[in-house]
Amino acid sequence: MLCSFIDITDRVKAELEVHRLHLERKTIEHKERQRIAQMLHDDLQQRLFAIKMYLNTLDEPLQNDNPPSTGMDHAKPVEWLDEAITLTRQLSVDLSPLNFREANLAEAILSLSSLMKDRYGLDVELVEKDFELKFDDELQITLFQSIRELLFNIVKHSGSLKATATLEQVDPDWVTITVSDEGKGFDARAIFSGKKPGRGLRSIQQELKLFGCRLEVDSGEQTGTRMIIHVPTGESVSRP
Amino acid sequence: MTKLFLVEDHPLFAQALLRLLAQRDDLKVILAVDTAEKALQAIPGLDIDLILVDVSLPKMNGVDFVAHLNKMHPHLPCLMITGHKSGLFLKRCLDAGARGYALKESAEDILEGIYQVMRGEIYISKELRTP
Repeated sequence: MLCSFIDITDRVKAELEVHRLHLERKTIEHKERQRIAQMLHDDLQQRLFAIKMYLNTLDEPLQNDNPPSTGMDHAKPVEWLDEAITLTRQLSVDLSPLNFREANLAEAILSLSSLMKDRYGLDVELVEKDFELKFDDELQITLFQSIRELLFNIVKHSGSLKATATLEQVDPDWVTITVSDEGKGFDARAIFSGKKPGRGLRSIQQELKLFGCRLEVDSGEQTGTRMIIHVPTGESVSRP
Repeated sequence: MTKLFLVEDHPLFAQALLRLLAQRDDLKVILAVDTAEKALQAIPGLDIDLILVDVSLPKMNGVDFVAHLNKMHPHLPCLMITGHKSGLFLKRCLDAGARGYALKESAEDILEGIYQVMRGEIYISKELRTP
């Protein structure tokens, strides 16, 4: 009798890891949907209610001095509508960053840079080095969302309002996307090992891993931060 | 003159509602604040007849605020103002002690709510009344 054994420990571990990443991804998506629903209810809907109510009041004079009249009655709802329109634009970018689906990643980052400037005052410079790739939709959305999160981290933590996004085809098989700033830096090792909070960064890392990408962070106090996404250029990439 | 206190966190909506209320010579907004916590702090020093409360407030929400207020000032009525058309929200608010539930999208609803609650009745937005 001949028996043979195959050690499947690694395969089981890998399957468990994929399952865990899948669940984590679902959680991130759920949170994103919640955030957008909250924006719709807590902000856009309230603005629309306000505009409707304000328009209702325009034909009647004020009976008492609460609140004092500004003398700009018709201008207000127009101003509020402008703000509501801006908000719908932001929401559409949040919902489908590549609304832009036809656009490549560089064009999407340009749109994002305009949004980051409007919302947070962050100047984002885009540098393209031999980069003309268009990724498939799912990877492109993940890369875009990762870049957005990295830029948002710069706004929140770096103390700097200047960032650079560099897209580079480093060799035939790999592309790098580098998001950098000259801010105060942080201890990346402590974050990735779980010793310091930084769930957002760890989630990006996990999400990218699902697509075979790798996130590398080079950061130090007073030396700024370079966050590099290494993207394999395989079947998911199409050339223009 | 009915003296009102507004608890609403969205500045634009608060501004529009204050304008609507200012057009009624029988209504007067004594104070408007944007959180339940500020409201609870202010109430002891105020002479008011009715509180208009947004259901979705930051930190302490409108439902918890009304429940809390009901214990401290059981005779001070609250009219909830909200964008939620859910029967569940309505029930939660009434269970917490609110005297009325009006929709933000309707100025008429809010005004009717104020007058009806001031008459000592329970007000439920027309859209949410079961036939």
